[in-house]
Amino acid sequence: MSLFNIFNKNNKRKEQNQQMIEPPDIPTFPVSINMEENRKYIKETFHYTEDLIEKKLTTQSGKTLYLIYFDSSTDKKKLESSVFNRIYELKKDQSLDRAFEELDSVKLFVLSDGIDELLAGKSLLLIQDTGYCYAVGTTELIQREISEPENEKVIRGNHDGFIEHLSTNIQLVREIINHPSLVVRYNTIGEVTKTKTAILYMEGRCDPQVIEEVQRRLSKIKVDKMITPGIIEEYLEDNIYSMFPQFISTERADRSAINLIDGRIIVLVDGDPTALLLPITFFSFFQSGDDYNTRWLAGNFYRMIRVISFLLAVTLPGVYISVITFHYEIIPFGMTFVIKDAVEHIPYPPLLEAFFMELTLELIREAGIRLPAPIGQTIGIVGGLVIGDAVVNAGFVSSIMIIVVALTAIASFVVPIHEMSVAIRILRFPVMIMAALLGFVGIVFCLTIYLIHLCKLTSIGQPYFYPFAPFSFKGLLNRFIRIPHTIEIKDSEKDNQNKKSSSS
Amino acid sequence: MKRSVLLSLILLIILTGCWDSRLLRDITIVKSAGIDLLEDGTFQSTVASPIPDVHEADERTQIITGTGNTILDARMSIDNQTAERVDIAKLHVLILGEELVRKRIYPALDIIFRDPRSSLGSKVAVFDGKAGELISRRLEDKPRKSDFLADLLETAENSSIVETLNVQLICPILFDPGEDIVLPYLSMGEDDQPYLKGTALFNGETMAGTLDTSDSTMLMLMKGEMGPNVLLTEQVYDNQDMDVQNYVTIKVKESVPTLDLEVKSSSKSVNAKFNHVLKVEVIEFPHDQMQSEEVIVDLNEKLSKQLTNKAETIFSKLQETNCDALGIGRKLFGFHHPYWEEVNWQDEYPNITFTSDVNVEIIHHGIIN
Repeated sequence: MSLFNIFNKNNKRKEQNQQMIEPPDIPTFPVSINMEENRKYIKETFHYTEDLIEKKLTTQSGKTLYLIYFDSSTDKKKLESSVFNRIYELKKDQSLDRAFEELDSVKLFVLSDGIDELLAGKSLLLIQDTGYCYAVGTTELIQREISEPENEKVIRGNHDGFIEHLSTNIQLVREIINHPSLVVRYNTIGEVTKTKTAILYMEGRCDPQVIEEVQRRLSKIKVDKMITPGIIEEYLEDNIYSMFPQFISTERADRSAINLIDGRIIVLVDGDPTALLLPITFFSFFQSGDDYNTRWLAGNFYRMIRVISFLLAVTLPGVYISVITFHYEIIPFGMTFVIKDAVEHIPYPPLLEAFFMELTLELIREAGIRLPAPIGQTIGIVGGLVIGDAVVNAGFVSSIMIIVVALTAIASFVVPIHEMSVAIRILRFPVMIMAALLGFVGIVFCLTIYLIHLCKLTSIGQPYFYPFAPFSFKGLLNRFIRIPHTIEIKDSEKDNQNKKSSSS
Repeated sequence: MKRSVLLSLILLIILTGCWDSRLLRDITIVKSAGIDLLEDGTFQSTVASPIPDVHEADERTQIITGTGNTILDARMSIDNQTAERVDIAKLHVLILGEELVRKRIYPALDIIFRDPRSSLGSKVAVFDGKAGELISRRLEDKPRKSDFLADLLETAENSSIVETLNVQLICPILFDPGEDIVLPYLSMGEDDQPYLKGTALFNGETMAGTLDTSDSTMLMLMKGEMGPNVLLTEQVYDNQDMDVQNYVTIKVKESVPTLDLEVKSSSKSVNAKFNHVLKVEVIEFPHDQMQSEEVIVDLNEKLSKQLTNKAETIFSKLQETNCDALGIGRKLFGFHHPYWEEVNWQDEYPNITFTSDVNVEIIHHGIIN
């Protein structure tokens, strides 16, 4: 029963989330005429933190100014050029306000708003005897260089990858799509981190309902945790219990741009180089930028290889288990005895054998990622070659099983999107267990359940398994197969609707 | 409610029948088997199963013989002699002893038809002696005997010496009152090597006679079974210098046999008119002279006559053994049903008259003109 309680709890949590949206928790504090009160308010809000610098400046006209900024996130050069120099240059008769209005600054009447600006790296300029203050843009940008993402390489085409800085990322997209219909909407999410997120879409190409739905779901996010795309993804997902990723996360600017043009939304998060593409279909995961840059026949060939490798990675260990457990008669005559030879002295049932090898492989993979690159390679060699060979020689695992596991592993790495290849690796285990219980019947049983799930799954309300369910022949030509660029297949009105919102 | 659904789903998966897994490592794979009828009425079953031996090219074979009152009984007795369970799902060749098939063939096959695990694709052949002997004989130079026998039969099928048959395909013919089976007939040569002796003709379930390889090739052609590589050697002259010049070897390119049946209602007799058009290629003709039109016409005529005679001999042999290999009964059943109803085909078959006309036409004569 407890299992179902989980669902109920979840429902309750959703209700709570809806109630929590509105009230802001910092009480408003208008800028006081009394300077001391203002300074005290700011310092108290920041609990007298020591990287909060306060500088007293006096203009030639004798006005006292207080410049408050965070030492850690302020660009000193900017501060000097825009604030200090400006103040020293001020003539007696020149108005202070005019000087600052020419700067990158915002006039604030409420000091509590200034808190947020300070946190964002701006400096706050308090002026004696006035009921307002200025927030001056002196934020220091920490940026790394734009390089090609490590895990999504292409041979031909754009090598730009997103970085951790939001506006740079948007700039990258804008560079590819120079069109006025590209719209950016900012949101700030997270109680603690106050993370800036941006939704990008093409007006007129994107389904407005989807945009609305995405914004509704984003506004529901109320967490204390770090805002990473992972969290946003879970809040945006239609089915969080599904094993299939419902969004593509990519670090490639060109992939994002292509998807924007196809009518999708991308969600960018400040501080994270990955963009979420949504809504998405199952087959989008099997596409790579290379498909569109190589010749169309080759593009199709490699796309098919990826789809086949998906099937292979999910079913191959299961098929092997069921063949040597239930259906050895399907092995061709010539191979019967080779396989019989291999499995003759294996002490464990094939399922255990397979689990042992698969888990070892995952172990090696995980260890390889965590370790620094030079040691990672050693682990690969030790794990792959030494363990593989020794395990066969010792007679724990049959040599055929090593072949199967190795093939499966390679097949699962072909899929270009990391989330999907993780999903594939997990999808394989139920198939293996069912194969050991019921043979081919079990595999069919398991795959049927997967298929039903895929057909029913949606991504922001759009069908996940398009163009197969709902079936569309034109969609198949446009999305599943990569036809030559010069041939254009006109979608009918209804398909057009689909095209706008779903699939690739 | 939800819980019960979940529970029943889990139970459905876990408790559906017994776990009928058969691990490959716990199975003795039988590749060839021989079944014999012993004098005391019990069956003897001999199976050959290669023993896996890693990194060795030739397989060592274990031969196990068991006897029992039924085939399964005999198999059980084999089971008791092996460490692992005997499994015939990968059976390649099934050899039947002549004594068994002279009596009845079906009892030996019954268990194979009933057992869902049987290998229905395995080839069936008759051995002129004890099948167990052939199975248990260690052949020199042919360590993989099962494969050797299967390949032998397959090559014979390609050359149309025997019909393409397996355990599954003989079943409908076996139960057909209007047609009889013809099985490959193996024998052991003087040098202890098995060879294909011809075909065994069956009358119903009983073996009734044999044909040699050359006759059986003709019989297969008459049945309309033509493999990709059918060769016939016929004597066309008897006065040449060298003996070899008297013969011609032809390769059949096209074979169209037609069989017309005529039932005379008055005498209730059946006339079978067999007409066979063979388009052939001359493969070997040491006499040469192929460029001359006359020789070709002469050859055509001689071959036609020769093969017509052959067809008639074969048919008389079939009638003698009461083996309706051509399926004449089937045709009567279909096209002359009242007649079929009236007579007992078993008794009537030896009495039908058969006239044959084989027309040979040489369409190619090799690359030498």
